[in-house]
Formats: sequence, C-alpha cells, structure tokens
Amino acid sequence: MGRMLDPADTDEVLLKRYARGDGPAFAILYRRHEARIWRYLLRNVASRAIAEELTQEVWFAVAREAERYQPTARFTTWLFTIAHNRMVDAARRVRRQVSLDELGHESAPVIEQLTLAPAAGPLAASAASEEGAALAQALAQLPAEQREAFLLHIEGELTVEEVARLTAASFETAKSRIRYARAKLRELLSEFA
Amino acid sequence: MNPMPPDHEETDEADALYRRLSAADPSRPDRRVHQAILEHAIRRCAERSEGDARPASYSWQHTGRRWFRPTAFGALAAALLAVFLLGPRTPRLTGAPPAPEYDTRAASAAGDDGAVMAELGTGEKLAESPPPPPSMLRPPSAPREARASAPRALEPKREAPAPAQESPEPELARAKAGAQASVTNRVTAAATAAADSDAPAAAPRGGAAGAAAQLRGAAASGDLGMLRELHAGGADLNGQDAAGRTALMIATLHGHSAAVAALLAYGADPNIVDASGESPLDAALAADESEIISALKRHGAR
Repeated sequence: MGRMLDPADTDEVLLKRYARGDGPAFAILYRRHEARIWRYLLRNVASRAIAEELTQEVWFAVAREAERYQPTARFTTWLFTIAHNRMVDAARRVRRQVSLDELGHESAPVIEQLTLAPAAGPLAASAASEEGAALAQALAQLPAEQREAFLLHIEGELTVEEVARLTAASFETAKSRIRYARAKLRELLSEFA
Repeated sequence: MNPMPPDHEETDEADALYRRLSAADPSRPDRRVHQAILEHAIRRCAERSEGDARPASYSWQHTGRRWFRPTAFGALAAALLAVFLLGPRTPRLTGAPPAPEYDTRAASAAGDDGAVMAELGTGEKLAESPPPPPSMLRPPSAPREARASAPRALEPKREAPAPAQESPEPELARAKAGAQASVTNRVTAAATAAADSDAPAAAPRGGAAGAAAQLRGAAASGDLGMLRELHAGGADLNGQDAAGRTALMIATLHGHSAAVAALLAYGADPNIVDASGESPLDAALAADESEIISALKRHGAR
C-alpha cells in the first residue's frame, strides 16, 4: 500500500489518491475548495438553488472523472473549467426554455441568460452580513462577462490566458474584462475600502 | 507566464477588498448538498475499488482459463510420470489435482435477461445485509461471471470512454456543443429523488400511490430488498412522481445500476419520460453510466 494520507498533500496528489480508491482524499480536496467553487457559482448565477445544483454537479463530475485527470494543468484550473462548463450547460438550457417559451430569440450571451433573474436581490438578502450583501449587490451590477472573468481569476486563480481560453475570448479581452470588473468593484464598494 | 496588466496597485486593492468582504460572508451550500457530494464520492470510490479488485476476483473464472491449460497439462504430465514410475503399485490415476471447474451457470447466464435474473437472485443476500453503499449492493457473482466470458470482461468498469470530460478542452468542447442533457434538470431531479426517498416515511403509506412512492424511495436508495418486496406486493412499477419521474428514472439518476437491473427485470417501462421529456436513457447517457446505459438498451430503451 502507499503511504498514509497527508492533509498537506497537493491537490493533484489527493485527486490521484482518490482515483486509486482513497476515499478520504476526496474529502480533503472537497473541504479545501468547496468555498471557492461555491462563491464562484453563487455569484455568477441567479439563485442559491441553482448554485447548489451546480455545486453538486461539479463535485459529482470531479468524483466521476478523477481517474481521467491528467496533471498537465493545475487541479484548480481543471476544477473551475468543470464549474464553468456546467454553468454554461445550465445557461443553455435556460436559454432554450426562455427562447422557446417567451423570447423566441437568442440575443443575450449565455451567462447573461443564466442570470436573467435578478441576482442582486435574493443573493444580497441571503448574505450573512452587510459586507456580504454589498459584495453581492456590486457583483450583480457587473456585466456577466466581466463578473465571470473576474471570479474565475480571483476564486479559481486562473491566469488571464486561462480565463481567455475558457471563456473563448482573446487574451486582451479577458484582461480588459478583469480590469473593468476590478475598477467597478472598487467604485461600488468604496465605502468598505 | 501570464502576467496580469501592470496595474498592480489596483489589482491588490480590488482583490483584497473582494477577499475581505467575501470572508465576512461565510455562505455555504445546504448541508444536504455536502452530504450528497460526499456520498457520491464514496460510492464512486467503492465502485472504483471494486473495479480494481475485479481482475483478482475473476482469476478463478476468467484468468483461470489462462492458467487452466498449463496447470492442467502440468498436472496431467505429473500424473503420467507417477503412473510410469509407480504403475505397478498404483493401478488407477487418482492423484491428479482437480482442474478448476468452470461455472456453467455463469456461462449459460451470458444472455442478457439471464444475467439480470441471476443478478436479482444473488441480490437477495446482498439486500438483506445492512446499509452498504448503494454501489456495493451490486451482486458480484453471476452477472460478473457471465460478463467475464465476454471479450471486455477484464476491463475495469469505469474504463468505458467518456472523453468529453477528460480534460478541460474536451469539456469545453462538450459544453459548446450543448449536446448533454440538462445538468440543472438532472441535479434537481436527483435532489428531488433524494427527497422522494424520505417521503414515504412521512407520507401515508396506504394505497397504490403510496406503494409507488415507496418504490421510488427504494429506487433512490438502491434498496434491492425493498424493491423486491414492493414489487411482490404489487406496487406500480411505472408510477410517476410530480415531476414525472418513475422509479427507474430515479434509480438511474442515482446511479444504482443493480436497482435499474432489478426494475427492468420486473418489467418497468424504460421509455417513460419525465415532465421535461427526459428518458432514463437520456439521464444515463448524460451521467455516462455505461452499465445502466447497456441495461436500458437491452430492455428496449430509446
């Protein structure tokens, strides 16, 4: 058998251990990243319920695909790629339903469709503090592409290049989105600075 | 490698602000989400371990066929040598070790329905044992042995290709293709199905609807013993919940392949779609449940 599980193991080592049948390794990995994935999803989508569904789906995918993970990219990049793609999937479904039922056209970007419902109100209301509510309000005021790029960068620690690739944007576009998002957040949250 | 734009002060300020405010909002998913995730991971892990252990457990049956010849040949040669040397004193050839038996039941059960029925038969013992992880309820003997005679029997269970999610790029390509059945719907369904499993305890149990609800609950938890009892009691196999999900759909959503096999063997209709028009096969394909996909197709799922 291999050596004992060490909570200080890297993400990649933990995932590999889990893929080889070491169940507790997943629990460590999950506890290590659950908050980041949760914040990324919650702040990108319309409701807490959707965020919970997507959170579950993301981690299900991690468990399912652990054997196939190739450590050519950081685990967090892989994780947030899954999260992003799950969100896009969900958005496409919403878009199809909305398009068929009401709009009859597909004009808005995918992520914007996912956030058709007012994100700021419910999320701000569910925030556990004044600061949390203010942050939710501020993020909800960002254009979806900026919010997504910023959250991938800060929560997923994706590089600009990775953000660009994942969101199918050019490097410059991704960089601009993150920059604009930061500027807007600083402005909206100035009272907390 | 990929430096951010040269506005480091702004970067630090905005990011630090975000992090500080985030830290003040310790929001997390519901406890049930945590539980579902960790249970799912454990189940997958158990399946994986089961897959890893399979070649060893198959050695008697499948790989045994590989060592059968040299072993039998060697035993026969030794026996002949013994006869040659001890012939006058040992008139009959009795010392050769018995060759490993080949399980003819397993071989004859290679037919699909036979395998399913064999699975159900051996499932009785497993269903009676208390609360193993659902995946562990999968009876290991007859169907596995039957499959062992098939060309792909030595492949670990989870080696069925699902390249779309193997790496970020294929994952993105898959998302862009938009071909996968709805994640949201699937997860919602799974979550609701989990709720269904709790429902019978609280709801009145009388009547056909109650039995059907209990059946869905058993499907959600992968309880083969309960499924068998409810089926024997006449529960409606094709009863649907408020979202149009049958017990078969719920077992599929939870990845309970043994429960799926049981329900199909009992005669559950594999082509009943839920309220969103999704069939069990759609759900299985979306979740890449190769074993369930095969079972559903064998029973005519479209």
